[in-house]
Amino acid sequence: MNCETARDLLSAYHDNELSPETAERLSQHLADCRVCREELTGFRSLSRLTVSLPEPSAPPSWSAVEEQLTGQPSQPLAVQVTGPEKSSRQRRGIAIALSLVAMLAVGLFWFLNGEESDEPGESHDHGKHLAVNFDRYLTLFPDQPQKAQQVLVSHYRGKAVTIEQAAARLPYRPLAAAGPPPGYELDAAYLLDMPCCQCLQAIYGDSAGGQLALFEHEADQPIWFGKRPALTAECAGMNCRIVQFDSRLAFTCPLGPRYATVIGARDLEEVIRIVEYYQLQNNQVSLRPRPTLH
Amino acid sequence: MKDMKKSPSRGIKSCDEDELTGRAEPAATLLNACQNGDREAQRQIYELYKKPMYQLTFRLVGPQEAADLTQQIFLQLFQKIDQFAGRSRFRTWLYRLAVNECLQHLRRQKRTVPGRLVADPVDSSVSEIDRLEQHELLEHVLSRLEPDLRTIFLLKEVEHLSYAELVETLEIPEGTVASRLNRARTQLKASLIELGWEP
Repeated sequence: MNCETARDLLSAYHDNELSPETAERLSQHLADCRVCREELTGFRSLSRLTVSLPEPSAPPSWSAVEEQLTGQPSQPLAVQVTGPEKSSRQRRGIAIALSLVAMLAVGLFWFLNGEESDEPGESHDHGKHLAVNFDRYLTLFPDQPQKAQQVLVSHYRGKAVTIEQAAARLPYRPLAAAGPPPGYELDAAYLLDMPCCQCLQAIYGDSAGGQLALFEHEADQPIWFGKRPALTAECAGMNCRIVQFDSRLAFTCPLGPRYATVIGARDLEEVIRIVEYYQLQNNQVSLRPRPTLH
Repeated sequence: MKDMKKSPSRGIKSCDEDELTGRAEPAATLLNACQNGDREAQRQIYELYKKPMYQLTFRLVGPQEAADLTQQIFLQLFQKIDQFAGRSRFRTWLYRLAVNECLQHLRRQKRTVPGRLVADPVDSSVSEIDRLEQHELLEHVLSRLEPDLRTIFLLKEVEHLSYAELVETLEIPEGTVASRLNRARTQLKASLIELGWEP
């Protein structure tokens, strides 16, 4: 038996699916051929490695399937909306209009967020590095997202994870576990060791080529936006700090006990949609009748 | 337990052993009850197969879609179970249905799941790769394997289907099973070695 034939049979040999005669001939070849033997060793190691894959968490419960079978609607989310849909849309329109007016009125942006620590020493350096790294991230994000990602991964010990793995490692259930914002799909997720905390970053893409990065963090991090001019506006009832970079927006807002920072929104309407979406996921919806700007 | 009392199929035998493989197959009485739309029989089928179906979808299409797709597979199963005539093993019939659902789902997606932005193993992310556990490396390279190869590799290595079951499930000749598995293993091994794995 030559090597070419042996290689063709190697998987079947490894899986114990060859006839005894063929298996015997291949065994003889393997005894004489180190290269084919190493290939087989590789298959065996690969099988051992596959066995070590952790089992996924629990599958959905029968009740979820039964609900679909019986056609009963899912349990509605505890959303309190006081007015009709039209009114809600009007409010959203007002919010966007007010936001835009405010942005124009102040020459786009006026509120500086240079809240870096004045204290000397390590925390100051951390702050400076953070501002520099995030500035690079924001600069690269629109056109070179992979390179932008490498900035964060290399500086903050970024580790590619699934959302489930992240949920298992974080002391809370991350927002990203609720799924991507409507119209987006998850592309990747990373756990980053930021100076503030361990931070889950989820990266989403949509069919039009748009990209969003969601960071969930335990403390407010105005320093991430460095000295970029920022606007603080009320979006869907939440105070959001918004900055513009390239032709995109980045914003931070409190969601429950933590903060979410989203990079890459197209416009203020999308900012509000995203905030509303994560509020819903957080079961903390409180659409206020009159959005205001600060 | 309340459902059990209401159900006419209470006490039906769940499993027989497949003579060829020695693996559990749902008993004919359970399948018949399921074909008649008996909810308790459906529940028993679900409990028998939810774990392997979820595991397969989790690895084939990614964790975010796994739960929804698993539900979809069982909804399809209960809709189509009338078509199961017993010419193949139920288990392979179900795997075929699941694989078709997963591959259709992947085709519908414009991007590969779980993602195109996983860090490049070269350049500055070398240190990141170094920190990954070996099974994380495998998940990384598996997610990049083409769906047909990923499917057959998972069915063999994780679900432990025999070649005869793979022939039934994937409806391909046995020779193709062997060559496709060879390709999957060779490609995975090469990708892992590139990332520093030592077999």
